Amino acid sequence: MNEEMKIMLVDDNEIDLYLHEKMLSVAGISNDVTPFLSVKEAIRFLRSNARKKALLPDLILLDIQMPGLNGFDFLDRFETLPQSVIDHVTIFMVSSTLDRGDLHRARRSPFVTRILRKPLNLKDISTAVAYLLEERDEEAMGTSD
Amino acid sequence: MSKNRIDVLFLDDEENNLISFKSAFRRDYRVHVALTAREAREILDQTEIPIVISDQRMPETTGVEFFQSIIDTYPDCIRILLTGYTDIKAVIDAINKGHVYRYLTKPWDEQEIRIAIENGFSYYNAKKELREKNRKLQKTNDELNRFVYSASHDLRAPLTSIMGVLNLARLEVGDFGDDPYLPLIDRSVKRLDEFIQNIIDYYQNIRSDAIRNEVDFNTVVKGIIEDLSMLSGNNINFNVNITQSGSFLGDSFRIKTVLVNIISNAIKYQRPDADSQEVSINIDVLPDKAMIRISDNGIGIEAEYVDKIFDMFFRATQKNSGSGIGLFIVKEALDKMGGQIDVKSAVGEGTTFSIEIPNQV
Repeated sequence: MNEEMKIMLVDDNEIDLYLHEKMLSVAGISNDVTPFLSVKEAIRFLRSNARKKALLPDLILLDIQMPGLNGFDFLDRFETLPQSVIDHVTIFMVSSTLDRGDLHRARRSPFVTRILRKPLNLKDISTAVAYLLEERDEEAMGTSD
Repeated sequence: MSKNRIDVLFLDDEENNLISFKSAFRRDYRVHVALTAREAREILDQTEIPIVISDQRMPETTGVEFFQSIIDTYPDCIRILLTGYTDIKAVIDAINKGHVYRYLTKPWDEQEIRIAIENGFSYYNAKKELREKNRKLQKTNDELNRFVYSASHDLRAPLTSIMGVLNLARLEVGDFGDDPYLPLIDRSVKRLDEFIQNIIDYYQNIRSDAIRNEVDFNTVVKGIIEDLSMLSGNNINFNVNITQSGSFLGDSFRIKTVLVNIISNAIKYQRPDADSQEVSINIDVLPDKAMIRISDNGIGIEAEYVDKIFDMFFRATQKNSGSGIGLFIVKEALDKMGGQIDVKSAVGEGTTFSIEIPNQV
């Protein structure tokens, strides 16, 4: 994967959106980051671009607690998206929550690859993304055989 | 008394009995009468009746059958069976099937009936009150749950944003550069965050039932030391020695809570002038328990305070960022898991905590 990773941020907190965008850039992970302030907008974007692979994000950083629809609502809706989207996208949940119920729930979701804590730190996000890229490379090699 | 007369429903298939019951009790109680089970049920549907007295022998339904038919709909209602016909089978049925409060014989004794009604009514009220109190308690509980949930988020979310900004500042200028203010903000924010985390930990500990899952102490301790690296910087030598050959089942959340608190104390209460700052973590996982020993060569605890360190909001020292709740949480969590903790400390030399946690394999 040589081209820049496309990342979608879903978070109602504008400061966190700014921080995460900046962090991803400082970490050298991506400069192609699109923030979304609500679950609805994010899902709408994914649905309407389901066939345009070039526009779909490779990774979504998803907040848990948001007013209105929250991160778990996002996951419920994500499940109804075309398979092409589900297969393409990896989801990390990023939250400041300490609620054991929420953490359990996030861990159980088949769509959540990782749970990262706020404040997001350079090391956590870099490690998580490195794992992800490694896995993808292995998958890519596997299919080309 | 006259205003709050007790509603009593009397069911009997003989009209004469209804009339004489009514004339005997109507001055003291608000008496409702019914000739058939159906009539009785209609009355129950319309009015809240605490006391129902029924004759046993009736042509269509027996008294016990009638009681059985209303138990689900009016579970609180006090049922009194009146019968002239006494055999043990009828008594057994009345108790087991009709769940009667009293079993009275005919011809009735006015005084006996009065006593049964009065006592039954007190019982009815007590039950009702208890139910109401339970409901209120449940409501308070639910509200507290919601409160803690939103506190854990709404208090902490802005705080994590501040910490995020500080992280970024640190990244960009390299450990805050020469700025004298940012480190102060950083310290206060961390302290506040630790306090919020502790409160939530404590609350989740007392509220939630113990869970049981596989615990790999190596991973847990490694994670904790990483998490605490912000606190410890690079000054602390960790000597970690973990022997775990078999599996350990326990409450991973609570175990982590215990270890985080003790290890972070070992880091916090170091002597700045010590040649080397040491924290040793020894864990031996046995088939029946995990034996944990965490030692430091820090400032130690004065003898007179050692017994108090597990009390809520007790702080033995002004040094550093304690909130006084950490060890209290540790003790609570260990109590929940059936574990034990012991402490030995010498001022200026260091502190050792010995902990045992049962293995639930």
